[in-house]
Order: sequence, then C-alpha cells, then structure tokens
Amino acid sequence: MNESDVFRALSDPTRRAMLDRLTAGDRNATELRDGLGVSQPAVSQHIAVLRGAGLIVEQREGRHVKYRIDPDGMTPLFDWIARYRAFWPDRVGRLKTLLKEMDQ
Amino acid sequence: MSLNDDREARDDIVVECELVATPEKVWRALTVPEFVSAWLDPRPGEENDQSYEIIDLLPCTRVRYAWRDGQDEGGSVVTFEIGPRPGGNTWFRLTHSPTRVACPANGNAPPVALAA
Repeated sequence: MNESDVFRALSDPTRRAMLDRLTAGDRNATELRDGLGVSQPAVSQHIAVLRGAGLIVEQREGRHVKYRIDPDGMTPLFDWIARYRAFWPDRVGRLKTLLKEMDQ
Repeated sequence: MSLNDDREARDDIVVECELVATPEKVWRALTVPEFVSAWLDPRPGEENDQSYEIIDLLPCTRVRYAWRDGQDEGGSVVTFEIGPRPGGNTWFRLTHSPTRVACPANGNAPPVALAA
C-alpha cells in the first residue's frame, strides 16, 4: 500500500480516534461514530479513506457490516520510520563534518 | 498498539545533540543551499530521490522544510531547531514528522482535502 495514503489517513484526528477504537475490537459504522461529534456521511468518508489506505478492512455478515484493523496496514509507516531512523543520524554526522570544514 | 492523538508525536523521528559550532554557523549550514546540499544530499551512487524546500524560518532558531522522497510523494515535514549553549556551542534538534502534512506559510491551499 502507498505510504502517502497511509500518512494522509493518519494525519486526521478523527480517523486516528476511529482506528484507536478498532484496536479494541471490531466495530460497525455507528459504533465508530459514537461520541466523535461527526456526521454519518463524514464517518462514511473517513471509513473510505482508512479502507483506501489499507488500514482497515470491511467484513460483511448479511446486512451487517463491521470494520477491523488490517494488521499489515501500518507496514508502510513502520518502513518509513526504519528508513529515516537510519538516515538522519547519518546526515547529522555529515553535518558535523561540514561544520568542521566551514569558515566561521 | 494504541493510536491516540499523540500518534504524530510518537511517529516522529527525533535527533537531538550538541554541535561544536556557533548557532550562527549552524544556521548557515541549515539554510544556505550550498551548505545544506553538502551534508543532506545523497552521496555519489546513493539512490535517494529526495527533495526539500524551506517552508518557514525563524532566524537562528527554527527552520522547517517540506520533505519528499520517491516512496513518500505526499510529503512530510522536517524541522530543525537550534539554540545557544555555553562555550559557543549549539543545541540542535531535528524532528521529521511523517503524518504532519506540509502547509507552506505562503500557500493558500488547504494541506489536504479532509473528508470531514
């Protein structure tokens, strides 16, 4: 799944709150919306964004639809963190070298 | 794993250290393009199609860059903060936030099309 989609999905507090609920167990759209102070159409859009980013999956049982966390959904974020955890200390090392070479 | 409102902060990459140089000198290394590229750009042969651009700055205090790389086309934000330390040294902190969307200070477009 695309890294940018995941970051964009996670950049919104309402969607993070919805994901937080799903870490406790599967929820339907009404349960996801409860107490968040957002309209039903807005929740549907948030769900669509989270599904599009691969963070949640839909489970249909007859007329009932529930959502759950996709355990692989966070992989792009973890990959990103691993990449930059190695990248930045290396670059800061080069910055220190440059500072020694620069004139005051 | 808990996903609360601190998630942005917890996903941030932070590197903090003291640099043996004056804040003025560190500031130049962080903002003058030829100095920045000397330490930040890929080494010869290193594959990294990164690009960066200053979003805003507070002289000798803080500069923020919009950051992009090939795998992260949506962009992220890198913040460098500095301050004076005894002995003419500089306190330095770098923060790279994956889920904070770049919003140029001079831009009039919203950072992202939010669903709500």
